[in-house]
Amino acid sequence: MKSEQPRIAVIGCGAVTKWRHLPALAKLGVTPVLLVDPDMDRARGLAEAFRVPGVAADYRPHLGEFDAAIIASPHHLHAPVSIDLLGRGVHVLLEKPMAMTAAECDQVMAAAEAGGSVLAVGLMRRYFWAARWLKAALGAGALGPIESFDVREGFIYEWPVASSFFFRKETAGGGVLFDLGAHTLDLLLWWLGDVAEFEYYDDSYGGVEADCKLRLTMASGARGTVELSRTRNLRNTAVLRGPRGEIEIGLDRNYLRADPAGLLSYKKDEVRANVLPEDVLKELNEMFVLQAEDWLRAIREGVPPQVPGAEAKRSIGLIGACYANRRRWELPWVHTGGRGQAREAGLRLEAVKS
Amino acid sequence: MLRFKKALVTGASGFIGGRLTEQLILDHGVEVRALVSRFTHASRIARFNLEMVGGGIDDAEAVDRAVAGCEVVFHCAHDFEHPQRNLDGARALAEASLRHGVRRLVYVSSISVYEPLPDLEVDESTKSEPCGWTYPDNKLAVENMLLEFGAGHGLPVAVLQPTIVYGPYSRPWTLDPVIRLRSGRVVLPDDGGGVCNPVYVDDVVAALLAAAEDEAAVGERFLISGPDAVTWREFYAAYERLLGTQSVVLMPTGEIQRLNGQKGEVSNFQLSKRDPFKLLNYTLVRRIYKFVRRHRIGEGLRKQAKQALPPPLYLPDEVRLALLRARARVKIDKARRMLGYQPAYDFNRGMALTAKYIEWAQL
Repeated sequence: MKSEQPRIAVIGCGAVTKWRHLPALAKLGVTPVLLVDPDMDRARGLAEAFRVPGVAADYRPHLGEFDAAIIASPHHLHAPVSIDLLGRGVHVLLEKPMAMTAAECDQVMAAAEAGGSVLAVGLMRRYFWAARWLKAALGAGALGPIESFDVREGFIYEWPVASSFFFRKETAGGGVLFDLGAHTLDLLLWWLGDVAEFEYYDDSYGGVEADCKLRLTMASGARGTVELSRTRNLRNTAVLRGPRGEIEIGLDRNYLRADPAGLLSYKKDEVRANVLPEDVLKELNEMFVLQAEDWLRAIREGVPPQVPGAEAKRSIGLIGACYANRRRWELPWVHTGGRGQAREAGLRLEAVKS
Repeated sequence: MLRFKKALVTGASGFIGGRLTEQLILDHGVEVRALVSRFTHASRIARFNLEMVGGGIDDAEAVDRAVAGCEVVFHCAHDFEHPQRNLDGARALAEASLRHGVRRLVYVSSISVYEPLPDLEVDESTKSEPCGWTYPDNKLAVENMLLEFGAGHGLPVAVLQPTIVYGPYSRPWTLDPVIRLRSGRVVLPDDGGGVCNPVYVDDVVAALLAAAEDEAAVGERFLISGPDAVTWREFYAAYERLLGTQSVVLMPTGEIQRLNGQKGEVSNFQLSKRDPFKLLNYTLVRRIYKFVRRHRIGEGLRKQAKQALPPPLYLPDEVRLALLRARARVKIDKARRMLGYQPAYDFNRGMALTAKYIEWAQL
């Protein structure tokens, strides 16, 4: 189904809708026809702010009133809602993580196929100019075959979550690996290809992990680590090393550093990274604009979106394998074994008094 | 083995409440319910399969739901912005605890109720009365209200008064010192010889558990400190050694007060250092900044500019200055005698664990 101006519903009115999706649509001059959230007060508040004519607690009574939907519901609803809508021919921009499991991803893609609808997944970091430059530069062998990498991404969590769904395993699907890792691992797999072997460690004790680390060996032979955190401010970059040097790239921003600096002279679309195009100055929120624009173009012109389901499924598959093979990340100040039984193995008990 | 099986922790997403929650679950198998005012900060406790009740401490309905079915209530939450909210919330918590037959309400207060600290030994008999500073006065008011409520209504209340609590995730006494020592110069008054009474967070948790269990705790206040005192110079020197920096500046008290008198100047400078991007609100500056960024000439310039600027000077304000100058040594004899409190972490041992955390946190 092609449409010049699809009527858009936004399903789920939490923080990402309020701060990212609706401002992005507004910037494109697009007004949704319907906001959906079981919390009607929240939906009404956003409808008023963004002049959306319709609000509803459930999208189902309103089928037929919209042609396209942004799905930003709690994670566990991503697959069932998108399967329902895609199968009915409604085009979907599905927030990440695409689904709870790789099997669910397959069902979502099958529904899009059956309904002839466009499925784009909200992995907006792929729209960063720097991320695209790196993809092209690596493809052209600018760094030589990647030998090692070191990826660290963490923020002391401040995202204004509107409910507890985010911290409950059954609704969130996981912790920092599932949420932030869906982005980080997507970029890593996009740049470096598939994983051959991995070890995975996290700090969950029956809830959702706040910190995790992976040791990865890629099918290409590159080896490296990924650390993700909700409790630490990490450097939020990936460092990739090859025989010609190393490149550091921002994971959540347009940032590139190279040693030697000449590595940045690789040209993508006639542009070198050492004199940056205006695009580089775009910040994270502007990636949502590019993402929405791409999705709307895919609907309008019948072309594939830049992040289709098959791409998004790759990181979900890796995340699922990690959870199935998880090991506890033992932190020495956590496991003191109760009063006065601190494990001192490995601790350097230096005299700290002067 | 603890005698209670289910506990409510307020402030569980904070520093002391978070560590208490960890130990209750991991080391004692206690079922924990957390009253969470903002889910945003719940990452650390969400690692556990625990029940989170959404609501602020002054939300009587949420507090009632949170307390129902709990044998022990640990009240660790504190709102630094709204003193009255702390008072109202503690009352709501006490009323709900009474309604639901809670066996013990343990309140985490602070040594600050004795501020300004005298230059001698401090114990629970030391005079504590409002001093005009918001935090200590608020803590004292909540203490008094809870103890009076407990005595008047037969609710078993115990109050702990921890000293300088440091360790993983401590904002005032681990994260802030490390961040400040790394980013600037930390000013201590005179010779830095004021007495710091540090206590590693696990010792506070041990005292909380003892106060929840021991009958002798009811109606009492207990100072909780570590086994040894150090000077403030020694306290900061421990962090300097971990970081490999020498960032403490000793300054006469009078000079600090003089600089504090120029508060506007100093704080504006610190503010602009902390958030230089505020400048970008100005269109012209923004344009120049974009040009510089685009042509990558910015990186070298920015580095040079950063090096050319003097590092921020972290001056203690009036309240902190008094704390850093005090020579008070805290006695914990009452907790030792009545609760069997035995601090297990001397300063070396506590800092060794804290060092592991600092390394891991990549601070």
